[in-house]
Amino acid sequence: MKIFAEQITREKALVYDLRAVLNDEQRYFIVKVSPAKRVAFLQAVEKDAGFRLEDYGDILYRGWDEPDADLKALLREQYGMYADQQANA
Amino acid sequence: MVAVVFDDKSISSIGGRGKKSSPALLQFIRDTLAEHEAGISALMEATGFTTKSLSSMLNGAGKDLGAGITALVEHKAALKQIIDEGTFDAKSLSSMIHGAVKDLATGITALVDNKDALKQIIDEGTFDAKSLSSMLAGAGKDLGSGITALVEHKAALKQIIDEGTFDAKSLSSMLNGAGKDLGAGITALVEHKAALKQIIDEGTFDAKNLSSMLHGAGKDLATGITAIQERMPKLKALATIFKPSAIATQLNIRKAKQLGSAIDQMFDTFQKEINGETQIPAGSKPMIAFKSTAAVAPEQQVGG
Repeated sequence: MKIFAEQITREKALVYDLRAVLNDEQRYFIVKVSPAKRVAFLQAVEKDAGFRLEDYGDILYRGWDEPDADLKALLREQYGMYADQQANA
Repeated sequence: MVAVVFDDKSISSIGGRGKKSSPALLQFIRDTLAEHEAGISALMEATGFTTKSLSSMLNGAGKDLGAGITALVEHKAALKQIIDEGTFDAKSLSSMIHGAVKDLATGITALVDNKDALKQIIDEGTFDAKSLSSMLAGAGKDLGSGITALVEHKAALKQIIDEGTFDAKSLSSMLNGAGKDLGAGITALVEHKAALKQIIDEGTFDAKNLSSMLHGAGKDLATGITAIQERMPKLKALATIFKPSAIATQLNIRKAKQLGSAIDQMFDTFQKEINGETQIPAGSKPMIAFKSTAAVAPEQQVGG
């Protein structure tokens, strides 16, 4: 029952792979955005005027360049991300 | 007759290690290669060396190119014998004598003299040819002392592997390129193996992560291990936001001597993020690269 509930939660999760250049380094952030803050988050990204990522949700993972293959596989399984990349692989 | 064609990149690497060669030197290299074409062709035919592996062995030869080629050609029978016996392939051989140049003859002689000792290490199953050539990479004229160090310390290395702290691949990664300083590197490993085991047992970083951070440390292994030990609180703090493998990869590019300052710098850079203050600054060109299924069509989720 608990596993089923977790699966439903994941299916509804608004998870984004955000990329940005910080201190001359290409970074990625996997952010789980609160539903109530989704629009504000997307606007902040679009505006590029600076923002604090934690204001919009939880940072699940972060790193340099892009997520490695293991992390992508995990996020694909949990949240349906990178489906296009799988098709191309 | 095997065709001898060195591309511009190979010619440039023979000219100088990471330095731009003058047009006159590049022309000298082309002329010398042309002059020795028949010998090089015979060498390639006998050993299976390619122009790529030859340019690796002759890396940085410059004006000593003629002597380097002569040494290789003169020793082609010995090199062929090592390859035929199956101890090392052409690629492994070229890795060990990479950049030896005018001391190529000394390096090759050391290989020939010690081939049985190396074969024995491989046959005992402690290291394979690839791991051995990785540790001896770039030893050149000091290949003999590097091999001696390996033979002398093989029991200590085997013990580390048998204890399960590191596998042969991780060990060879840390000792990569140590060459003549292999003895010092192995001694440092033996002396610090308990400290390394303790770090692994703490559970944040595994053997693969540590060997990645210490890749190529060689004789400076002791400095690198101490740097990690002293900075474990900082590394653990970094591991609260980054995958340990990603931290190791970022630190992998640093030399062991600089590992301490690299960890300090990394901690300072990400201290705010560790404290939950991840600022995406203005002008950082943020973009959404990928979304979860639910984020692609949130209206469908709302509608049920």
